[in-house]
Amino acid sequence: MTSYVVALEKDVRDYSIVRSMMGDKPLVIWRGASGAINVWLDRCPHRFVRLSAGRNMGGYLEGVYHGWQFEESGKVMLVPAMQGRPAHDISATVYSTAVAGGFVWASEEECSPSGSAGEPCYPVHIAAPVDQVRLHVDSSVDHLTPWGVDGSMVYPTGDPAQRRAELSAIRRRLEES
Amino acid sequence: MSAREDAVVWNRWYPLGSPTDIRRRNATRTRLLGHDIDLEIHKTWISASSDSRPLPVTERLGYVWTSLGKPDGPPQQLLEYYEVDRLVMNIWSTPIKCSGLRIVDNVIDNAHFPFLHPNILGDENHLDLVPGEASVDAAGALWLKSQKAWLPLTNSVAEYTYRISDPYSVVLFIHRPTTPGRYDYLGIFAQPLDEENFIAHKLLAWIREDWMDERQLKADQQSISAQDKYVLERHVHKKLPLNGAETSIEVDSSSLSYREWLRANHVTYGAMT
Amino acid sequence: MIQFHDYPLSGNCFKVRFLLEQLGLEYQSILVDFYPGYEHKSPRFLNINPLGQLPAIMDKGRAVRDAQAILVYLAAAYDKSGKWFPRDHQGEVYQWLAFADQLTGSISAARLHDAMFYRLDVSKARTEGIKLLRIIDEHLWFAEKDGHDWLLPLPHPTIADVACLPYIALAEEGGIDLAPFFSVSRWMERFMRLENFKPMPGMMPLQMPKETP
Repeated sequence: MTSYVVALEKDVRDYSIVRSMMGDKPLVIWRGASGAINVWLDRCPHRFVRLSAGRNMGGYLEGVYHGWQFEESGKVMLVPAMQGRPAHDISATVYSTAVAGGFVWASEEECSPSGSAGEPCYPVHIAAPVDQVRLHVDSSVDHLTPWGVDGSMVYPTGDPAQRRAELSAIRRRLEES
Repeated sequence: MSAREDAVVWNRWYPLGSPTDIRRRNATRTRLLGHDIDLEIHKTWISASSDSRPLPVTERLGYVWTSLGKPDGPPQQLLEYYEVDRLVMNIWSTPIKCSGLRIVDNVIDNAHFPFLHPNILGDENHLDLVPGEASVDAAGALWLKSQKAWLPLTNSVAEYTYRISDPYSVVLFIHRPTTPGRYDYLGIFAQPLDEENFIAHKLLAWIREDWMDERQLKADQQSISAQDKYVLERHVHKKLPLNGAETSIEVDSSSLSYREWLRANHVTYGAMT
Repeated sequence: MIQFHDYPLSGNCFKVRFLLEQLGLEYQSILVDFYPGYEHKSPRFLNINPLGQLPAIMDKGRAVRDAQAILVYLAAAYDKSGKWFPRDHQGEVYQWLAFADQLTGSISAARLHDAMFYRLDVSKARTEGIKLLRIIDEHLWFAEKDGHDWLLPLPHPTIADVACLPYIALAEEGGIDLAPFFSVSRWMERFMRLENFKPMPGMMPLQMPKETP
């Protein structure tokens, strides 16, 4: 199973929540109090509301609908409406992750990041499918992740101003055709 | 799916809005159960048709109602709406991007009050919830009686009863300790545009008290609905799961009773089965 | 006392309410029944703002209309610190106030179409909104790279940020997904952590945890 870049490591900050995508899977990415970065399916097991709509409280991720508290392992550690009575064995869907080259990688199976050729710079979203975008970018320098069915997120490396200009031009060409 | 395949949902009355609002917006086009509805706004009445087929139209509770099917009887009633000592408002009509079944589910759930409506309908220091007693009446409506939750506005435990006469509607009875046997009412009637979009028509019928300011009450009720919308539009699946895929806990008994009632009525439109 | 004509679901009213609170100003909130009452089109309100738009304020007998203009007025008249409308960055501030107007014309228009039955070309509104989000997202990424957290290269927010925040935060109500805009999302979180920030309905309702508790 493929591993994908889903965020820049420096963009995953304490007490903050990052939304991303890996193909058709919406992701919630958060850095916990332990310092580790967690990448989960963005869907609370209770009523299937996006976990990214809630809050990163450091020691736990809190769902916005009913305040369920998820510890870094993904398990529900507290359900407010149950007032201290233990929660059943409920868990978020956790993906395996790795941090390499300044990027956060995730996978549905084992996460094995590929090499990176430089400093991560400005990610560019292109409203075109990955197969099309792949023809225009150099995968040794730019990481490509499918974003939904019809989109792609390009995570480039190198000189930010230069890469931004190049990718904007590619995006213009692909989106206007 | 075609709504026609869901007999219970197809053969019901649905509100299209208040006549005042329909006229002000000149709303000559809307949708219901996946079908385009044309409205003709005459001088003294409003008529509806779908694909040139005239539809039955009636007015009740401040709304124009129609049906694509053959309901047994008129739309649900709430006679208290017409009582002289009440402040009555058709608060608004608001489009929401998910199945209309989800709003009924949201209205009967009190566990979200401290999180979506902090310091208004609930607070984190008072998490005691008493679920309602579920029963089905002779007409087939689902009742959830005497559900309890802490209400910060009154600094006391509030009691709520819910009447679900149709899959896509709920009337909330707010118990009034000062006038036992009489309630304050909020009605939420969903007009399903299709399986994943609906318009919530909300009404209020409260026993008039001196402190009540119409504009403030209307703004407060709209704000509460808009707070719920934050979550309603962030469910990963727009349709209400009736397939047991969700993970529920003990205090979810009202929401589970509603799901059971929908399954018993073979409701599939707007649901994941 | 400032009289503030307000509606809780208006992003433009949010901007004024936010600055009034930040400046610690006393004001009287006058609710306008925007929908379904259309009170902003009533003769009484048109007397205050002939454009029939919210918000409007009355201060010292004079009416001021337009959210961005009110932000400038309040900051200029009442902000002793000079931080909200820094005089030596006026051009840059105005550039973003004009950008905020474009956000109103696109992202907010899409929201009014989806949430309040407005008839307009919603596809065009969303496309324009996405174009603007890409511009502000790129600006914020590069600003962060230079060590700045806000739209202006200053260590504090200004009315430029206030003017751009609410309709961006409410973008999903108009069918625009904010997920691809990573830098905008971080900037929104920083804004929501500001002292005395109060969310309007449609924004995350609970207090954002601070970066340094």
